[in-house]
Amino acid sequence: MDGPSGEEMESAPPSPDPRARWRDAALLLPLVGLLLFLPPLISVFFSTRPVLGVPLIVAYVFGAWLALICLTAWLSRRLTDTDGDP
Amino acid sequence: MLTWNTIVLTCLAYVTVLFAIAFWAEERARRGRMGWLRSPLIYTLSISVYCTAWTYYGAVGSAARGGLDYIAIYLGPTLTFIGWWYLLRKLVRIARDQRITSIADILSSRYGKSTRIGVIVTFIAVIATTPYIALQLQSLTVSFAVFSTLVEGDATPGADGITAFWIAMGLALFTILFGTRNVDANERHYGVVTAIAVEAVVKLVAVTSVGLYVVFWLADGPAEVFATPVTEELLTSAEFGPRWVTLLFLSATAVVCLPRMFQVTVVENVDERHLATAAWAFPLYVCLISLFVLPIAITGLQLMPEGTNPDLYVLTVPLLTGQNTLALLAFLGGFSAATSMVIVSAIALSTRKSNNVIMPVWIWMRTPSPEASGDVRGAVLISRRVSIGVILGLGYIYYRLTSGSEALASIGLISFLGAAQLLPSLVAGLYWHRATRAGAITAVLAGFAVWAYTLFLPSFGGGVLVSEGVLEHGPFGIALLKPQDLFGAGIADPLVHALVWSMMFNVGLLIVGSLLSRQTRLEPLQAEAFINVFGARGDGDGMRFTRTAKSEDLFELAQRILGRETAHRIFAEIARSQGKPYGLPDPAPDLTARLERELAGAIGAASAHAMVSQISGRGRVSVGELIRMADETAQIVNYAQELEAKSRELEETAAQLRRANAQLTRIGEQKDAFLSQVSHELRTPMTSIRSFAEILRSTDALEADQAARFTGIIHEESMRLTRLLDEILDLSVLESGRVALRRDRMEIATVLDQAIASTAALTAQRGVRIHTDLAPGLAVDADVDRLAQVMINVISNAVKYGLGDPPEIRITSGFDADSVVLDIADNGPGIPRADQGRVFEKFARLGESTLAGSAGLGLPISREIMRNLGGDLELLARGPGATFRLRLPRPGAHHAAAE
Repeated sequence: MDGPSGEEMESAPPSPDPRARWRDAALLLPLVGLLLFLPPLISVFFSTRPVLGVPLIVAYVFGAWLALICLTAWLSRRLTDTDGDP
Repeated sequence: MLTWNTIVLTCLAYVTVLFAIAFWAEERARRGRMGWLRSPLIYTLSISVYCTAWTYYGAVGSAARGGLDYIAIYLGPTLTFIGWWYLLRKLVRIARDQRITSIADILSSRYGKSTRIGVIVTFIAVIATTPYIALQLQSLTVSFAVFSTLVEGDATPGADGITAFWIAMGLALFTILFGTRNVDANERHYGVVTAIAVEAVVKLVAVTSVGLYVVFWLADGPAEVFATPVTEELLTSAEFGPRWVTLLFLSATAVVCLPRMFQVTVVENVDERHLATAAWAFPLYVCLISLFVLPIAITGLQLMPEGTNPDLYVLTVPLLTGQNTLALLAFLGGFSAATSMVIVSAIALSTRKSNNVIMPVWIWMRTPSPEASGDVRGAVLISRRVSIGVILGLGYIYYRLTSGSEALASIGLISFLGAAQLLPSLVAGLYWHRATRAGAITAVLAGFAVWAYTLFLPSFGGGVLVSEGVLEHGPFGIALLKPQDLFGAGIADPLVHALVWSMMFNVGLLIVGSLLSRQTRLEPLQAEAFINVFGARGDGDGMRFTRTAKSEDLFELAQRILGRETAHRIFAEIARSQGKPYGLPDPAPDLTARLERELAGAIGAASAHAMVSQISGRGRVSVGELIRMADETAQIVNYAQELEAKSRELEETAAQLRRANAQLTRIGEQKDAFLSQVSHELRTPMTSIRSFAEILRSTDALEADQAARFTGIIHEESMRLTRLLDEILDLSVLESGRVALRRDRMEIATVLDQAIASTAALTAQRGVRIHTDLAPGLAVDADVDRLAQVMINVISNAVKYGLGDPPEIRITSGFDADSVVLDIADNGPGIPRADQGRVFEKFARLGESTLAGSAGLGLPISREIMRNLGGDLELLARGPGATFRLRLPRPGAHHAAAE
């Protein structure tokens, strides 16, 4: 689920400004979120088949959600660490 | 066990505690001890005001009706927050730089500080929030009703309305006490924010407790909850179609566009870095709060009898299973959710209404007298209090009109779409330079109108403005204009339908309107300030004017607020701590920080911060200042250009002066040379006259013929002297132009004949032949004698200097449109190029030869005569001999006759 964003960040071309990479990732993250929660992808997981006792769709939504939150937390630290702006 | 009194008392106690917390936080902030008051945690928790009573009760109801649909309401804000770096950070920075206090403020500021757009947006925001306030009243009322039916055993009809009325009154009072105790410079309410943060914790704890109870107490873990047959039915009822997308979009925009969300997210933000924390912490909060919604809904559907309001499962499930304390906690959570939302909304809206509508009117009405600041503060507070009352009153009216019948979630969504009408103009304002005020106003008004027609008015069920007949068949029976099926597009879901049409009109008109209209003078500046708020690099630091504060300025400020003594003491202390025994301290950060703290005690933290940062220039320079600076720069440039022009002028004058000076020097030299020439010329005859006169006087025995010869020489010499003096006199008169020459019509040939006759002796003596070839009948207006004099001069000059072998002089004439010329050419050696310029100088004898009887004044005099006759005497540069050209103006009468 977090594959696309992770790979994008790794394969980003080397930039003279290290912050540029994190900024691009920051732009990408909500787009990845949209992708995860909009019909083509979310419909794939539209099933009530239980996974560990929880219906697949519920597990998918909350799982993707938490993954996005973790990625954002990690990225936010990167952005504020390198950004010396008060 | 749970009595009506218990509930009311609990509520009152809870409110009192909240009020105490708020008061304490306010006091702490006032004393400048911010500490954790300005921590990212408090900020994140305060943003959770997004989760209102609707979340609390409505989400469960929504889940019980439509499965996973409710999650979209939380996923939207999650997306907005994880993209914080691009939108929210920009908004926060702009709000800080431009001292923005509301969403109406930011739009009015972006579109040229327009009051009109501020008023419009405020109006729309109040209308759009009304359903939301009503929603809180409704949820509180029904939750009270749950307890009253449970305790009293029956619900009196109409009791709901009365409960709602008292709730509205209570909330208004509460909000006024909370939110309008003072006027902050930058509209930050530390007390309220802290209280809201506490309420956020209560909400989360309450709903999680109920969730845990349901999942692990009533059931044996999530597997058992989801294993019920209801699950299948519930989950498959959701489909990820247009409604899902609509909900995602609306909730994503609501987190920015709803007045209360803008207030807590943008206005109450004290530090941009807090956003970085909120970016993941707020999504986490909403994720946690929605985690147990589905299990509670499923359990509720299973346990509760048919016909129970699913909106209240959070309360009724614990009550049914006998967990009264848990139910009370859940009730408090809902109470928190509703109160926090109403308080923040009312504060945000009343600030906005008072700033954008009431204050301008009030100031306009009282223009004649300059007001004391205390007076204005009082007026601001009163206008805000009245506004709060009005807003809650509107909410109550809406609640009564819709008779509290609808499901909670759908009411909330009406508000969301209303607020979303501001989004296109807001986003365009942040990213599109060409967006204009006219475009924004038309877009917002059109979007709002469509929203009101397709969603807001129909929500009254045909009660207000739009009758049931209109809903059914369209106005005047025009089916294409049916409010809930505009243009017969056949969109079934009213929310999706309203969203599609309102946004289509909104965005379309924004683009078209902006392209067709012009920006006002201020708009391009503001657009630039908004779009490039982070500077050209766009990576954070931005173009900032680092004006370091001067200690003098800070001291001035401190003196005014703290008084002379205290200011002296503080500044002396700081100076000593900096190691300066006397004088003002250096404007180091410790000075500003200390000063800010000291000032905070006197005027409040926010005001102190604003004042000090204004002086120390940590904020951005305002547009007004920029304009003034630009003006000054323009003036300086103008001035510099003027100076440059002046100095160029001066240089030219200096050059002219230098040229004039050189000329004067040369003329002076010429005059000296002339004088020495004159004295020399006079001296030679004078010497011979004197010596012969002496001989005549001293020698007695002088032979008669010798004496006669001597007197002859004396006579000749004195004649020469006289001639010379005559010539000099003549020249000076001619040069000064004071002589009036006669003008008689004559034939030029006649004059020439006369001149040739006069020089006959000279030419005969040298054997010079003169050839004349004159055009017949050439007449001029001239002085006969003077013209003849010139000819004689030139001819004798030619005879003297220019003799070829055989000696010849050729005289020709010619004429053109406006002059007659006479060329006198000899066949001699000509005049060397180097001497040509000196021919007309006085006493200029070319070569070595000096001629008796001429002092070298002939040619200068001749030229002066010609010039006085309106013509000229020139030396033609054509060889081999010398050619002089006499030029005279051609008389008009003759000109006509000659044709």
